[in-house]
Amino acid sequence: MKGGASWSRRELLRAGGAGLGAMALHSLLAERAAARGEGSTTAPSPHHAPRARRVVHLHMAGAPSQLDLFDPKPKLRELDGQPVPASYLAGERFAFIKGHPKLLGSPFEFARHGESGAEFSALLPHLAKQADRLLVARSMRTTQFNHAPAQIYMASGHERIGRPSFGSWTSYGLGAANRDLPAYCVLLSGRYGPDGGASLWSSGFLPTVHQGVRLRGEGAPVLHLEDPEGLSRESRRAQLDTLAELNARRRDAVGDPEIATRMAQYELAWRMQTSVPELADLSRESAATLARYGAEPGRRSFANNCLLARRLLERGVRFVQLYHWGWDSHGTGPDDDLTTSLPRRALETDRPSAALLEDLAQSGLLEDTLFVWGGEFGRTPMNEERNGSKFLGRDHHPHAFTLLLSGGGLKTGQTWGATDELGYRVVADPVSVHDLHATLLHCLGFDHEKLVHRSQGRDFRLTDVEGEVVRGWLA
Amino acid sequence: MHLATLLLATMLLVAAAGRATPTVEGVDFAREVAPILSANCIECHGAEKQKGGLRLDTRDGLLASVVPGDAAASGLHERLVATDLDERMPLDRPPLAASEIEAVARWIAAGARVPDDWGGAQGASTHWAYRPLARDERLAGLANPIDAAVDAALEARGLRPAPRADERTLVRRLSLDLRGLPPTPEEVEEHLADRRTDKWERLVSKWLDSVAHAERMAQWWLDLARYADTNGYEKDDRRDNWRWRDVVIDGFARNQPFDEFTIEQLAGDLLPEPTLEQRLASGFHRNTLVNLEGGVDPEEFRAAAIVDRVGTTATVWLGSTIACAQCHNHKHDPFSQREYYQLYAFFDRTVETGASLEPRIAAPTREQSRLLAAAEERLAAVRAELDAAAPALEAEYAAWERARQLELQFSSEGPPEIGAWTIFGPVADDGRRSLARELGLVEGAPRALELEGAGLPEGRHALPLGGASAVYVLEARSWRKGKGLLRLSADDRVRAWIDGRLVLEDAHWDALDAPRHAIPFEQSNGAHAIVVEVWNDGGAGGFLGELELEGPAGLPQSIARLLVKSDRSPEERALLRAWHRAHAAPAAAALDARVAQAEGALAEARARIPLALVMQDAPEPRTTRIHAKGDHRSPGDAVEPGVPQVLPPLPGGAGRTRLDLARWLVSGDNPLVARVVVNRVWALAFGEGLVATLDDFGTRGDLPTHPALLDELAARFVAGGWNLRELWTLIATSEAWRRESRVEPRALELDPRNAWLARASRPRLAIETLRDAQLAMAGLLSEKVGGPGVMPPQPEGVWAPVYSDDRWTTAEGEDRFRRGLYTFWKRSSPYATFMAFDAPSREASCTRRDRTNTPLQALALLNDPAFVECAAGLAARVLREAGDDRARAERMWLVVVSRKPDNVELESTLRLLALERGRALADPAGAARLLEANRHALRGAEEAPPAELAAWLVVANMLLNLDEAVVRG
Repeated sequence: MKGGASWSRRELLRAGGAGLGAMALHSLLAERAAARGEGSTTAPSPHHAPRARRVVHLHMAGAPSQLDLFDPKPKLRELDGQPVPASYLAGERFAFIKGHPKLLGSPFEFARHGESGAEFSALLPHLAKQADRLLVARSMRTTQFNHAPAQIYMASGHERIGRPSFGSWTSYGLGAANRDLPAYCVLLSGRYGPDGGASLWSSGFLPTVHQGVRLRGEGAPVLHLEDPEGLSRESRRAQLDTLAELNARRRDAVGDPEIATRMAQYELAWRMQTSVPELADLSRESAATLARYGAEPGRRSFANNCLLARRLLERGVRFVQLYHWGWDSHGTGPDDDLTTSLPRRALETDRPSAALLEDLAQSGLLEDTLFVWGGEFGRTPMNEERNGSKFLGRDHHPHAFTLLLSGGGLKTGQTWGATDELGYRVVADPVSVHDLHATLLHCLGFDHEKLVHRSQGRDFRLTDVEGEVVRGWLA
Repeated sequence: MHLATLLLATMLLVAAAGRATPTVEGVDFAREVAPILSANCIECHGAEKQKGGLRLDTRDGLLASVVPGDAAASGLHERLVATDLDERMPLDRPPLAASEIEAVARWIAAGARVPDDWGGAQGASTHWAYRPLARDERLAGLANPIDAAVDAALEARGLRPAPRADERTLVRRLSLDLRGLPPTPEEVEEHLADRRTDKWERLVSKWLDSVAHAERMAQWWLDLARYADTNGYEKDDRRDNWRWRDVVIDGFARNQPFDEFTIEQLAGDLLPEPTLEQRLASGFHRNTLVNLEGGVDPEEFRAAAIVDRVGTTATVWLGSTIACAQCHNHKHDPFSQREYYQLYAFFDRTVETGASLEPRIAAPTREQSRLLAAAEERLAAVRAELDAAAPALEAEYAAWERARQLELQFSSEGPPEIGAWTIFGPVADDGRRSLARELGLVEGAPRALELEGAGLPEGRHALPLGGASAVYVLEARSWRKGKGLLRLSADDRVRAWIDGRLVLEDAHWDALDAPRHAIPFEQSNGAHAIVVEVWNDGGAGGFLGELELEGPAGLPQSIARLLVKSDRSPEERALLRAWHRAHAAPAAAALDARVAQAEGALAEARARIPLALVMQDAPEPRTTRIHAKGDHRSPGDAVEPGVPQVLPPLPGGAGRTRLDLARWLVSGDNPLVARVVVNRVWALAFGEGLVATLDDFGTRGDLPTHPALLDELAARFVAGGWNLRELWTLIATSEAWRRESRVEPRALELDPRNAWLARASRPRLAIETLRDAQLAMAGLLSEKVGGPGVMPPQPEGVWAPVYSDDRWTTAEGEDRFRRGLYTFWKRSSPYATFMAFDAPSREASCTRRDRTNTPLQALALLNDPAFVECAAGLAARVLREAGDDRARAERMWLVVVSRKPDNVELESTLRLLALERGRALADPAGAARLLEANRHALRGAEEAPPAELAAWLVVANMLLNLDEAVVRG
């Protein structure tokens, strides 16, 4: 397609309602216009000066135990094995715990780190070294206590599927910044995908150009990126040239602007055939870098995904969403025992998460990139003991959990909020999922009450009807 | 028509297209003010309560609270902005949003006009969609009302309609719209050659009658019905609901009137003496998700399914966002939360628990019913034979029993000695260590070991701990060579050794009710040691083991013991007879084997019968309560089933079941249903609806562009017996639908969305249609209708398992090339290419698909093996069907876009062909790989020269990506 760069803004705007493909181009155009200081009517424009332009969310699917990683409770250790005070249990419903559960002190040692003195358990030595770059939010709360709804809630601000995910809102709000890659990319690792499935990166009722594009962990990162078996690149180019010639004739004869869009997309597809493998080719990273992440090119892993995330962010992708499976430490057997499975997950994620943060900071990208690390809810201060299991484990716990945050516009080097002496409930500065979203949107330059989209007769927003910006998080 | 008459008609027809409620200088009471009053004021100042003597739900009452033209002097406004919390309204609630107060002020300033029929419910009765259908007399008198209405609206806007498209384009358009398939070149030529004046009407009628049309309509309905082959949520296991889908296809195939269709979809189970098909049809609302995860609250998910049913019913039939009233009264439309739960109550009476797939029914296809009957017949025949032989067998058994008893009595050989199982363990295990090896039990005779866990019940051994292993040892002695047998089952993994020889290694989970493994072995004259190692990975487990050794008279010890026992229990007598039949009575054994075979065949025939999810009401209806804030855990007032007040009431004497609801929907009194359905079909044909918001006919939805036409079509639809084909015929024979799709720059400027239909739209084909079209062009498309979901090729690994071992098994035969609507639909991971083309996940009802245009789509159409295969089929086809390059290229264009290429197009095509032919000849290995990868589509083309086939494949792959090939022009 030879006309890609030559379309006038007017031509594209005229394509207006003709198709959502045109909209994708609009957002691109709006982005460029914004860079040139022009206004745009096609995409929402930021409500105030953004501090961040990108987001990377490392979602630890299954929900890591805050009590064994970030929120030490000496009292819990002291009372280890004692029944939890009955006052905590009134009206409570657990996913698995039955009867009157007993408290479980953390088997892991904690220490303070950095100038901020943030506390980390010994399971996360690398992230602990980043303490001064992190905002440790210990007072997170959610409303959901099963994985799929809680993940969907974290992703979209609503417990059931159908609403646009945070990444889609970000893409909708900020548009794409790279012509050769999707604005919103998703990477999965671990034995299984997250419970919420593809709904987690759905664009809901937003145009589907804003849906997350799942890059695959092994083989081609984008489906059908490879030419058909036995077809040479030269043949493909010849095909596309003929196709462009024939489609151009059609465009001239029919005048449908959607044809021009389609022609542009075939050329972007061609570019992605080279840009995406280049992006995914970790073998170009130095041995030292690979070692810092613990990445091995070709093997599906969280470490590889962190490295890939860095490369995506460097290339202007707006929202990079990682999911890593396996944090659901119930203690029903050796596979989900708190003393074996939690250290395993920590081992898989600690080094690469810290390396990603370090790299973003070193390159300056962290200045305007939001970094979020954590699960969909917390875990109980009590031992689950499902069916009398002798393994150690904690049940799902919506009342308190910890998130790590960093980057553009956030006041890092602080620990935010507090839980009670057993870590059961938040006692200071609670932050809801809606508050989290409101704050992150604020950093991205949006008033969460104004970034709306009308669907089925109602204006919807990421924060539903709640949410307040956590002022204390802002730098 | 005289110009003056035309103008008048124009004015009349388009007048109604303006705002439906009076607009006073930019303030629309119904849209801007009524919702605020109704949501915030009417509760205390309405028909039920009049706090402070104030009533705002009547025109007079409302006007008494304002001074028209002066907001500051108006009591209403004053109360909204008061700073004293005892004065400020709404009392004890947060103040209204500034924008809301501003709207009220603007409305007062502009004169505070109130419609006469204001009744507190957001001016509902004045909203166009709830008014009865209004027939315009001039339209009613016309054979086809479409063009008069559309042309008048065009004229009023100074738009000129495009001329009628050429015949080839129209045949192609008709085929794609009615059948979801392109026309064959022969169909096009046949039509062109037809000289009859009514040939167009004939073609429309012929294709409306085709099964392909029924499949195409079903494809539309499946999105609305959120049909899928899995349950959704975390586990997302398979369900067997395709019989419902086939009943839908069948309904469209016999042009079932849409009112009858509606009744069966919503309440087929409640019809008097429902047929199997009617009960199956009620599965429409069983397409909801089911959560079979452990630890969830079933009531939460039962409630979620009903919420989905209310929302889906409202969307599909009423074009209404009643779903918004789940948590509070609807903000903009006249639906209260109470009314929401009255609708909810209709669906709250099923026997579902929320924790299982029930109720389900066995739903055999006709073929399955036939096979089942045959299998039952065969079994009966063999059983009769067995009965006939019974006396002779009994005599044979008696003789055998006596003879063996004598033999045992006089034998000098002792019986085999079998010890008791002893257990070592359980021992926590890390999954790698073998306890048996550590104990040294696998080689030679077992060592004496200390015993743990004594006192286990005979035969059954429990192993309660997850992640543990145990070893069981059994010592025995026999006095002769013979046949030994070890029977055992274990949970979860097991290994067994007989005399130091590994005889079993199994990691398969196994129920412990009967031994699954039967391990025969050569029994020596001497000692035996049986060692069984069992792992338990989770949950309680254990193992079950029995050893049989041959003793005197060549009988296993258990049989010998029974033979000499004097008072046998009935079970023991049965056991003896069974052993005799199996081991010592060949004739009986043969008969038994035949019975077993017939039983197996019957069981297999039964197992194949799908269990379809259906609706079924409980004998005692539940009491439905309003859920405060939409939370089922906060039940409020009880409500009876009922319909929203703004719509016509349920007829007097009608009951309050789903069936009554369904009948009410299609009674013809309800103006919404016909409007909504007609609008949807219109959108199928024109790309957009007359009301663009297909799912929202409320005050926040779009107004109809052609209100008189919409009402006329809806009225005819009802009067004509809800006949969808009649509606299609009106559309397909209209000029509006037959226009050229060429886009004039001026028309694009004036009407970018083509709302006024000056031209035909060019929608990108739905992905199923795209796939069907390519399969048809390739000559690969299977014509098989219905059956279980099929699995065409999709890349490895995209079926991301979430706690599931289910695998995508790509079909090899005909099922590889079925129409897209039969593709297996997994909610958490729908067919990857479908998703790239805006197919919904089917987790919720989808009224319209986006039509995005993305690079991922380009990649799929160019590279997805499922599409490349079609290019291969198309290449083979033109090689077969035409003689030289030019003829083949023309043929390919004809197949793909239903027209011949012009010279430039032909030359471009031939240039690419020549280039690729050269490449294929220079690189035969590449060509061979290309062909090998597409072998499934190239059956019968083995004779063609590989370079030719490869070159044409590349050309076909390109042509199938033409814009013209992926849109309906």
